[in-house]
Amino acid sequence: MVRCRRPIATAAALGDWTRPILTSVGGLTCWLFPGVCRADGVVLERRADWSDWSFDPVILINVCLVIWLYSRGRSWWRSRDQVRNLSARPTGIQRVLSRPRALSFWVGMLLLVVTLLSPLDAMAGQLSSAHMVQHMLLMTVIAPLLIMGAPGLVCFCGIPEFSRKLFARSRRLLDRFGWRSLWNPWLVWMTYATAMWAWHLPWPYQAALRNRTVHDLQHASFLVAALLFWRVLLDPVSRRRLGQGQAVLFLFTTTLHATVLGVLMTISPRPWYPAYAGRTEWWGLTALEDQQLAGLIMWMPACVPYLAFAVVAFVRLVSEPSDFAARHSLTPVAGMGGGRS
Amino acid sequence: MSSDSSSEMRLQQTWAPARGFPGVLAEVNNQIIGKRFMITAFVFFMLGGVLALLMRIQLAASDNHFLGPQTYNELFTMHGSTMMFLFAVPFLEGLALYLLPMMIGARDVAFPRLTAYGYWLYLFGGVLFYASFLFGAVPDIGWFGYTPLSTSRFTGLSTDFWLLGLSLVEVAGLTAAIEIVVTILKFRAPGMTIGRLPLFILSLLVVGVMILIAFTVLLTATVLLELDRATNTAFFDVERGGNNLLWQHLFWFFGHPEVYIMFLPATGIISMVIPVFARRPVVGYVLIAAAILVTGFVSFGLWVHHMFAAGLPALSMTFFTAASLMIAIASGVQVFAWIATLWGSRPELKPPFLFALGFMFLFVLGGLTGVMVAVVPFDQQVHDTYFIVAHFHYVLIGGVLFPIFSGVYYWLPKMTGRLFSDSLGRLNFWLTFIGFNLTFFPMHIMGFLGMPRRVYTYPRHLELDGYNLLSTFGAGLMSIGAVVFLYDLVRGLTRGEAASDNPWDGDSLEWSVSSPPPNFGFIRFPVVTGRHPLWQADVTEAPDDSALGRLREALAFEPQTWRGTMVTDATDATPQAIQYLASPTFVPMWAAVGTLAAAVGVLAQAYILSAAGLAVLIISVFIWLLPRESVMRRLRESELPASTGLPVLSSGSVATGWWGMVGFLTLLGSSFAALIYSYFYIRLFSPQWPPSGSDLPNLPLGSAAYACLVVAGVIHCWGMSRFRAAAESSARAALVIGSAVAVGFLALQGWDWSRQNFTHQSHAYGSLYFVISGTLSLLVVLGLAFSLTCLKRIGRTDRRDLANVTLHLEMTQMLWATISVIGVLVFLTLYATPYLL
Repeated sequence: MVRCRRPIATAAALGDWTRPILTSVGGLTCWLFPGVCRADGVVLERRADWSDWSFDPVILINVCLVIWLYSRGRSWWRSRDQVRNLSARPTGIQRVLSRPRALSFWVGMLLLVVTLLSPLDAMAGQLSSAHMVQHMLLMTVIAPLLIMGAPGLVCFCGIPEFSRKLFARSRRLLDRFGWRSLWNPWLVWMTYATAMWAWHLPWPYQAALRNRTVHDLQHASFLVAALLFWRVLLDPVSRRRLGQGQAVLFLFTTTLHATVLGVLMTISPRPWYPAYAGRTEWWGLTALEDQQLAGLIMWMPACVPYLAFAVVAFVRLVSEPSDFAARHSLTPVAGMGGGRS
Repeated sequence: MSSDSSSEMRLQQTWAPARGFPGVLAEVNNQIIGKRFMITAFVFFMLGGVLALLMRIQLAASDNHFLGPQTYNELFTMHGSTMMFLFAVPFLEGLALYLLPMMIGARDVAFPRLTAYGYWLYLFGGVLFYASFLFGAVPDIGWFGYTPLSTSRFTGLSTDFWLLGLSLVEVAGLTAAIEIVVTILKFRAPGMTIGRLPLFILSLLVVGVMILIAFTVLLTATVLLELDRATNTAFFDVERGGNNLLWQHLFWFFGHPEVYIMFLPATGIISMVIPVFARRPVVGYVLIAAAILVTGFVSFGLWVHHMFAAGLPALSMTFFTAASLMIAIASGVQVFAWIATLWGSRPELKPPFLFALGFMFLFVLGGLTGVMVAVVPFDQQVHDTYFIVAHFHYVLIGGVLFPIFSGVYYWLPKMTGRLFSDSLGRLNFWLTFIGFNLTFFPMHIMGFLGMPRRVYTYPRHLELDGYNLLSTFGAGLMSIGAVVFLYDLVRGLTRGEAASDNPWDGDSLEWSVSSPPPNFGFIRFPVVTGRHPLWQADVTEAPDDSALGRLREALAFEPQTWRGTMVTDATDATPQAIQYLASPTFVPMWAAVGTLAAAVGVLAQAYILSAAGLAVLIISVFIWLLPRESVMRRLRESELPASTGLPVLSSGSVATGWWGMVGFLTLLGSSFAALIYSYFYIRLFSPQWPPSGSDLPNLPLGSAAYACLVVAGVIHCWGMSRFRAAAESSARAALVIGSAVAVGFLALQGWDWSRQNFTHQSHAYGSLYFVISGTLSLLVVLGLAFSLTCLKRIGRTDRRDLANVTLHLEMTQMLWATISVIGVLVFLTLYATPYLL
């Protein structure tokens, strides 16, 4: 049975002007992908398949908004540069807006859409391992990709001129109330760890499975915690970014506790989330095997991005300037050993 | 020049080792203690080797009764434990302590008294281990001491010897780790950024952090097991809800990184030796550094692959196989970097280089069998056979002992000022190399043919006699090699030619000081501008008219009347301050004697002795940590701040003490992490939590108690900020109120303890509840000691000591902040999760 209640209900909540758009989008998707339009908390009563795209308007609207702001911000900077006719040497801000960075942001956005809206989302309602893949992508792949594109700065530039001042002022207000402590590495580390551990407790996790809003909240808190986490490590703009050595320790300690959570999940003799019972069989796994798979994904593959970024930071830490060897001849100098300093 | 030589004389007097018999016990200098570490470790190596030979004699023929099963069990336990805990790690620590300051341009390590304390603990722990022979209670539980075999139901005094000896050695390892990490971060010569560290030092930096985490977990595990044995708690007692596999998890969480804790510094040695013999910089410095990091990182996720046969989910096997292979990739990168360094070069086949080559050959073989056993079906086939014995001896002897020999031959001329015989060195190499392969290669085949590990004999019809005889013959050859080495050592020390300062034309800083080096290493600090300071004639010295050059001259021969060295920034190595270093003192030895007495008291169940030992330990630590007025006066009156612009008293991340505290807090953190992991692990496998008959924890009381702890932490942080704002009276008030609130925590926690209808012996839940909250309470008492000593100093000391008081208060605040965070975690674990889960 095809049910289209959800997009329309949300449209109503958003106000009159969105209704026609969302209704038509919802109607179109229901027509194109019959599996999509499931209502709140109603999980598919069959194995999810390729047609099960979801078009959660909350996500869609937010994604569109961010994309709009980001592309506006980039073109705004580009037009400014042309006006000022800046020299060929890239300035700090131009480096921030470089093509690889923008690409990183777009790839992150694409992955975000795929992660949250593709059939993976439907699968996540049936397999905790699929859910784990979703979370892992959000926290360790999408978030760093987005952060490398300097979303905060670029989107700020994309805000229409008339409201930019308002934003700047509210930002200053926030600064006064400790907004900056969101850069405190200890706090960020603990927020990330808390998000990771708290949502894996049985009742919040299962509440997310039952209720779409809680589910969105879960994904949003994962994404926000992860964005803060990676911002401290990778932000292309701020001076408050961690040093490379600290970054390695930051990632290493995170890997340790993520590993421990994965281990507990893997070796548990009982499934933690009874809500999956009966659905995992569609995929040929028992509930316990499914949970073991989820734990193992958290234990090992999910830690690969931490390792990769730690290696990058460490390599930066130990690299000499590239022209060093050319400037100095590096062979033993006869008689150098005799001197005493 | 005459003023130079008189300055040098005075410097030598300041750094002169303590004289006479009792003076030997007071020594704190890193070179002397480092040598003691290495010599002691070598003695244990010989002992472990003798045990191995006895086992090989037993196994030389089938149905042999030379040793008997019980003695055989004892010997393989002692052999494994000796080689792992008493030889490999301590030897590398000793080598590190000896070389580290010289390689980075400092005069000593960061905490000289801690060096001495670590050495005494190591010595006492090792002797305690071997004292078991005198009491006829030799450990026979294998080097991993699996429960339930190691619980009091199945083994007696012998296991206590093992556990307590091991604990002392672990603490020694932890002190060395803090020492190494802080020294590397703070004592590097100006210009020596992290990226210019010699690779041996870089590997030590990574390994230091690994030890801090891994050894703490093992220490926690051994304490839990000893608690089970001595006070009848139930962590590993299945009947009372404990869990045996918990020991395996904690042990291998340590055990797997341990392999790399031994192996990474060994590769560091190789990365030092090979470029010097190839006469060119090492190829791929950055790649090797990255490989070291990856190995260290990944080793913490893999402990379960030692437990393939312990009943893990079938699904997990593929993951472990894949992840284990990652280590092989990282190791492969290093091997290829060395090959590339050697490519087309014409190295002389001197002993250090021969051992490095032998290492590469054997380690690759051991690595290949490692990849084989990482494949689960294969591992199921060869698990607990001699194939595994062959594999890890290839890794440990090939991968650790050969580099150690390489390093010893490489650095002996520096340490002793003598040249050693090349031909005897070569003889030792060939005897060891051939003997090793004869001993261990046949074991691969024996394993395939089904010879099980840890069994004292085998029947004739298995037709393993030939292989075993060959193996025993090879072991004999290896021991002849060791004797040749000893002879070479004695011969070189008595009759060897004097060595020049840089006999191998090495590139790192230790070759710029004389052989043997003076106790203070450098008269003037070196200035570093690249990875190979001695090979860059053009860039080693700072021009005399530069700021650095002037500082260098101002600090030449200085400080003269007290031991000191320059402190630099942790990342970019710019000069920051001058650090006072302790002179010889008996305090570390007394602290170690106290620790030993505490351990022996537990061993003999004479708890009065333990109490006395603890008292001695606590008093010594107090004397140790509280600044002495005579020292403070000397520092206050020093003219160095005026002449150099660098302070002699410092606080914050400039001071080594601050970093030492960070190390200590890391250790506390990982210890509590291990405890909390144990809680959830046991919980996971319990049918009912809390067990029937026990109430759920008292949430209001618990909340009140732990809120006190958080409040105490916040007040201490506030006090710190008041102190920084020069409001000393409110800082004092904060310390008083903070301490009072913390006492409130102790009272509430004590009340909660008295309310329980179970004890730590009732069930595992009770054990966990009492041990975790009890440990936290002990930590709070420690915090109180810090606060009260701080209170005594704020506003009552000379204004010139301000930096030192600040440091004291900073440490107090850091400790309280950590206690608060740990408190929240403990609260969530003990009080909240029984309701939530």
